[in-house]
Amino acid sequence: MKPYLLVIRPALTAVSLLALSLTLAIALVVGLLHYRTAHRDSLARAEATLQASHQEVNALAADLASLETHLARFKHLVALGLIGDPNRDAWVHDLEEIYSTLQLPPTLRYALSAPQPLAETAATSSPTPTMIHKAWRHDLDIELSGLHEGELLGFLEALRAKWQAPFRLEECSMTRETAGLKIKCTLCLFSLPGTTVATSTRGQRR
Amino acid sequence: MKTVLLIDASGHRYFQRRGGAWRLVPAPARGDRRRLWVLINRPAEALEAIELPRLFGRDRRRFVERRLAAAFPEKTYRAAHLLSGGLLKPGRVILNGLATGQELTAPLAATDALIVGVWGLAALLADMAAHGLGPPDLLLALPNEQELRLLVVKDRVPVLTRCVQRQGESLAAEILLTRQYLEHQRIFAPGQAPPVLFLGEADAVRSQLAEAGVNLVPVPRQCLPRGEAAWLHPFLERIVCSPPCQLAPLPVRARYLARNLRRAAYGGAAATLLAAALYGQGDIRELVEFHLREQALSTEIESITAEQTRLSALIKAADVDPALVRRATQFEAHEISAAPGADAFLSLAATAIAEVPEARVQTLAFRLTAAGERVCPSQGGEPPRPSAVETAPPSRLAEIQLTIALPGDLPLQAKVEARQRIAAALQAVPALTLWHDPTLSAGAIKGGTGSSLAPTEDHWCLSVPWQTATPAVPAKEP
Repeated sequence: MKPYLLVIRPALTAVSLLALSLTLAIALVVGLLHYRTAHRDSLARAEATLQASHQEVNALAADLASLETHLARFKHLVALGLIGDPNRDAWVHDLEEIYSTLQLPPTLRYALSAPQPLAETAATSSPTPTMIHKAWRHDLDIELSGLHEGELLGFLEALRAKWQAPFRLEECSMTRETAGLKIKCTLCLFSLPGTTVATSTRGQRR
Repeated sequence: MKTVLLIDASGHRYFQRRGGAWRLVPAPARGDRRRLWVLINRPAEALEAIELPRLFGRDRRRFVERRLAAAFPEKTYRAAHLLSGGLLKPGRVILNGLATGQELTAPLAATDALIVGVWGLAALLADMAAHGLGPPDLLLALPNEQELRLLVVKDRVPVLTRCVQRQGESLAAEILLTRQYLEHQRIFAPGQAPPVLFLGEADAVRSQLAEAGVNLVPVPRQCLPRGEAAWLHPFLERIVCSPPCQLAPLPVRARYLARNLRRAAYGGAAATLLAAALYGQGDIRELVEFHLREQALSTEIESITAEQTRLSALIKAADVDPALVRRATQFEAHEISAAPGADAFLSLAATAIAEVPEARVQTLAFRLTAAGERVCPSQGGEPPRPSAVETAPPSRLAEIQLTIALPGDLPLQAKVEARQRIAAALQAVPALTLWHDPTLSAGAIKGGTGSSLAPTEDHWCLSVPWQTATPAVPAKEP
């Protein structure tokens, strides 16, 4: 027997216990380090999820508030035809009909231009440029003659009240002639792409 | 209690330290596992000091082993001890051993005590002399009832040791004989023999040594006799410190070393676990905090998920995309509703001539200008200045051009006053900018007399901002 075994053999239990303790201690330290790192990452992920959820809920609450505030107005805009594919034939048809209903002199001439994307710098400086590049404009040039100021105002008011078209008066020139006013105006009609029915919601997208 | 087994010519005796003194005690009973230091003082012990050559490491160890084997062929009880020098410095080594270990066999086999080690008395004497006991050159004499142990050191290096039987009153004679031997061997020059430190009752030898011209060194205080161990007291005190030159082989000390190893292992295990627990304490506390925080987060996430589901259901019930609603209403508010209508421009024209009954609006033109476009360019109008607040959009303008006719037969002064009234009326309109004012410009002047004169036409150019009211629409655009 090797001499050192004479010393080690009687203390084998204690030496084994020491080895076991060392193994346990190393395993404990390494394990705790690993476990703590894993938990820290997990916690960070959970906190990120919570923060994202908070932001999502805030966005949803804002969406809901926006819906509650503007839904009626939006439905009106839908009825006007601002959203979706524009019905250009209906626009000019209704224009003629409104004009004839007012029994004004039959001097109306109009020309509806092809739709053009509304550039940010094209007509106005919009505070919401992200909306502009998605919008389309349809310029409607009209010419009238032999009208008085009151008749013109009445015609424009009738358009605003009855015409199912989202428009603004872009430019206009009036010249007084013997028979009345000679008027050249450009009405700018708008359309926005999109569907009036929600295809998805935030909750579904997530 | 520390126990020492002394083996000499008288047999073997056990000493135990109590109250600072060593007392004789009976041999430990079988099964008594106390620690036991063994001190042997027999003629079999020998001592030799050798010079180390310039050898290091394994070479030095092998050299010493060879010299040790040559000096003590009986290899059971022998040891080497570095007296001076170091690992890299040559010095002296003391070779110590027992010619035979038979005298140890019986007493060590008769006890179950844990043998700490075996030391020879000569080695202890040499160790004490090397550590400052007496002058550098010294002859140490330690008598007992049967024997006399002699050790001679030169420059604190042992040169001779003897253990002789006492025969009558021969103590002084043995010392003198040894002295004579040292001179004959030229270890010391004649007449230069070292003084004697007699560790016993010196009265018996004092006169004889004095007659021979040998000086006795006063006994140091730490070597004075004490307790039942008497003159052996300093050696027993020294041996329990486990000095160098331990002679016993590993098998003799195995149980003692195993006990030490066992204790160290248990202590190490406890210390390791304690250290791990202390080291991991912070981690464990942090893990508990993590767990609690995770639970709280989980509850919070569940709650917020429920709220999310509720809001999603409400939005889904509206059957419309909120982003589209927001975009459409915002667009309508900014691009359509905010634009001024024809009635506003006609009203403005009416305001201009309200104070001048004879004036007529001949032409009226208006347009919405593009961002950055000059207003009334032929009249030197400038683009609208950006707002002072960087985040606010620039104000959007509408340009109005008016041609106002005055009767041709109106006197010149009346025309001037009429123009001034028109200008004043326009300037009174809030936020209106008058870019071309005929009252200020130096243009052509046309006129005449009679009733057939053509009316005078003045051109006016001005701008007004769009409605400044911002609709209550969220600015967010997802």
